[in-house]
This record gives sequence, C-alpha cells and structure tokens, in this order.
Amino acid sequence: MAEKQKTAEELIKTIVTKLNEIADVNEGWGKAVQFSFSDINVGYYLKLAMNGTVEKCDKKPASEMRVEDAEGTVILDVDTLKGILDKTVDPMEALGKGLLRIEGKMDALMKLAPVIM
Amino acid sequence: MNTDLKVKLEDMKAKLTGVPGHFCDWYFAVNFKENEKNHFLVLHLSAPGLKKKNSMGARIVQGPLGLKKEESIVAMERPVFEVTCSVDYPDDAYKEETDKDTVISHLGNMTVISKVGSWHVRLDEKDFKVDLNFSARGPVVWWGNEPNELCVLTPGTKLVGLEAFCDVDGTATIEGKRMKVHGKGLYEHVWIEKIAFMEFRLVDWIFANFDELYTLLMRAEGVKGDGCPHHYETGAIYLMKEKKYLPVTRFSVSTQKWAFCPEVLRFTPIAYEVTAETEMGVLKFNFEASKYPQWIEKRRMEFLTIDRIPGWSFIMYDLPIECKGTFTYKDGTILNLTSGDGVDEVLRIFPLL
Repeated sequence: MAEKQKTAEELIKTIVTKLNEIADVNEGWGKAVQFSFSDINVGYYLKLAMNGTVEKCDKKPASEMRVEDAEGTVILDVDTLKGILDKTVDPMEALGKGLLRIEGKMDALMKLAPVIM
Repeated sequence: MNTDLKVKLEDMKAKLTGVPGHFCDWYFAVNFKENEKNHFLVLHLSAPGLKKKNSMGARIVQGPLGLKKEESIVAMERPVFEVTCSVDYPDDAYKEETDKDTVISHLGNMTVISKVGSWHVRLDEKDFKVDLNFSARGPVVWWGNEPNELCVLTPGTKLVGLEAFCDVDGTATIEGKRMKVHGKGLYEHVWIEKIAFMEFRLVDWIFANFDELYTLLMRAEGVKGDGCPHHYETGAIYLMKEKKYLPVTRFSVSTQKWAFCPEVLRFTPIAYEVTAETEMGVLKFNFEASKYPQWIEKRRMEFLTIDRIPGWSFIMYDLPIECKGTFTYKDGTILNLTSGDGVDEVLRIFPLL
C-alpha cells in the first residue's frame, strides 16, 4: 500500500507538471479538478489559479471526496493512471471498461483531456 | 509549376513534427468499377495518427450496400467482399525524402511519391498490393479556403487540411486477384495541432466528385466548455468547364434515410440531401451510401459523465457514396451532374441512451 501511495504521489506530480506546462491554455479558468484513487482510498484536489497554474494540491481520503467539490473528478486506480501516463493503457478503452471514470462539466473535461487522454 | 492548383510541394510534407500531441495524416480514396462491380479503395498513412501511433492501412470494399428489412427496421448487411490491411510502426519509422519537385514518404511497405498536383502511392503487402496514380482534376480545396489556414473546428481543435479531387489510375492486387483501377478519387493531407474530441457532437466531411464539378462540404457541430453550441463550416465547389473555384457561402445538409448498422449498434444515416450556395449558383444533390461504412472506429464510454449525462458513445467511419444532382446558375441555367461519387467521413459523439 505504501508503495502504491508513493506511486500515486509521483503520478499526481506528473499531472501537476503537465497542467502547469499548458497554463496558458487554462488561463482565466480558476477552478478545480480532483483525482480519486479507489484502490488506496487517496484523493487529490487540484485548484488552478487564474493564471492557469496549479495553486493548490490537497491530499485527502478518497472516501471524503464529493464530485460536487470540483468541476471534474477522475476516479481510477493507481495502475490505470500509471498506464495512461506511460501510454500502455488507452484511456478511451479504460472508460469503456470502467477502469477509468470521469464525472464533471464539459469545461473540466477539456482541461483534463490534454493530460490524461 | 501550376500555381492554379493552389498547392506547393511544401504542403505535401509531414507537418508539425516535434509538436507534442500532433497528428499528421495522408489519405487516398477512389471509387471504381471492376468486372461490373463498384469498389471503394482507401489508403492512409499516419505519422502519427489519431491513435498516437505511426500506422499505415488499406481497405477495399465491394458495393452495393446490402439492406434487409426486418419488420419496420432497415438494417445494413455485411459486404460480400471486404479486405483490410493495417500495420502499426514505431515512432521513428516514418521517413521522408525531398528533392526539387518531389516529396517521397515511406512508412513500412507504403510509399507516397508526391509532386505538385499528382501523387503516386504504392503498397506492397503480401495480400494487398496497390500501385495508383492520383492526378488533381483542378485546384486543391483547403479547409477554410485559404492555403494553410488554421481552422478552429472547436475551441480545442485546430488543424489544417487540404483536399485534391483526382482522376485515379493503376492497379490493386488483393489476395492475389489483380484489379484495374480507373475512377475518381481523393487525396487528403491533414495536420492537426490539437484536437478535443469530446467537444464534437457531429461532423460530416462530404466529398463529391462529379464529371462537371467537385466539392468539399464540411460541417462540425460541437459544444464549448461553457455548454454553448459551436458551429464550424467550410466548403468550396470547382466548376470544371469554367475552371471556376467557388467558396460556398452557405449550405445545408438534411438526412433522408437511416439504417441500422450492426457494427455500431446504431441507426446511421444512409441518404442525405445537400444544398450549397455560391456566387455563381446553387448546387443541389442527393447522396446515398453505395457501400458498407469503412474504417469504423467506435467506443462506448459508459463511465464518462458530462454535465450530468452518463454514458457516451464515439463513432467515426467513412461512408462511400453515390451522388445525383444539379448546379443551377444565377441566370436559371441548369447543369445536370453526372457520374457522381465520393465519400462522407462521419464523426458522431453522443449519449449512449
């Protein structure tokens, strides 16, 4: 479990880096997305600043997360996110199989798509 | 060099190389008759394609589209002759050579030799060999009408596309059977800076090749991040006799018939009516599916919830078509259009329910 938590931490760092790299695209949005790891009961709430960079990255138990708390929520396990980021898992296939769940508003999906799709 | 073609050698090359997440695609399609049977042959070279891989593919299908009626439902039947060849390649597999008047693209056993206004495509796979010459019938049609115009199909989708409507000649040897290919077809080169699939709801890329004219009509209906609709359209008509390139000022597309496509578990349109207005007159034509849909890509995204709507479906395919219609000049003169065929490239993203 500790190993998976460490991996999740690294994956979220990668997500934050990717979001910061496309900060210009997300400029003016200023809302939040969250990632919920169902296998380790850990979630991350990422709040974007108005300049498009990630200004806050809060960790909390996934069981305490509510989809209403952010514009978009990604629910998956650690291995699936790792596979998506290293391109061994097709995110569209994962969506079809239920390995990946995404719930949120259209604008949040557009912010998430460049980093996980 | 014939500058009337509105295309340069540079436009044939791989584009956006080095841009993360880009797509670059070359596409060839031809409708032809062999042994009294209509065929649709399509080839693509993608470096990389929408699946983020370098890939090459070829596919042939024989018409007509079979339809069967079961009670009140009209359903498509699988074609009697359909052969596919598709190979993925590593990231560094695409090679390109250029000289004064030629760009040569290689990917695996596919080679495309591009000149301004003509393309020679060769494929040498065991059961799928192709040797075809595509010659532009007139100027290419750029999406957006201006050469190299970056088109914003949706807020998150930016790309450049060019289409050459061609006379096509050559041979195809499929599973050992040699076929002479002679018909009208299409060369397409598209490079995509970025794409946001989920902003799309509906796209039709309609390509029609008549003896008297050719046309590209493209419409995209999408959704912006704030939930508001986003519409994009572009189109042009080229009149062969007058050698006149006419941007389309307005067009409408309506569906006339539908049939159940078992492969996508959906009813999909098989007949359309199109009206396109230009400064010289109005094009009106009907088109119907002439063969079974090709290159069907489908995804059921059951666990995607957007704006509280759970479950989404993605469908993309090429529909070979036959077209009949007229071009009515401003003075009322009617030009009857003959030998119309083409393809409708279709994208649909909608809720599963």
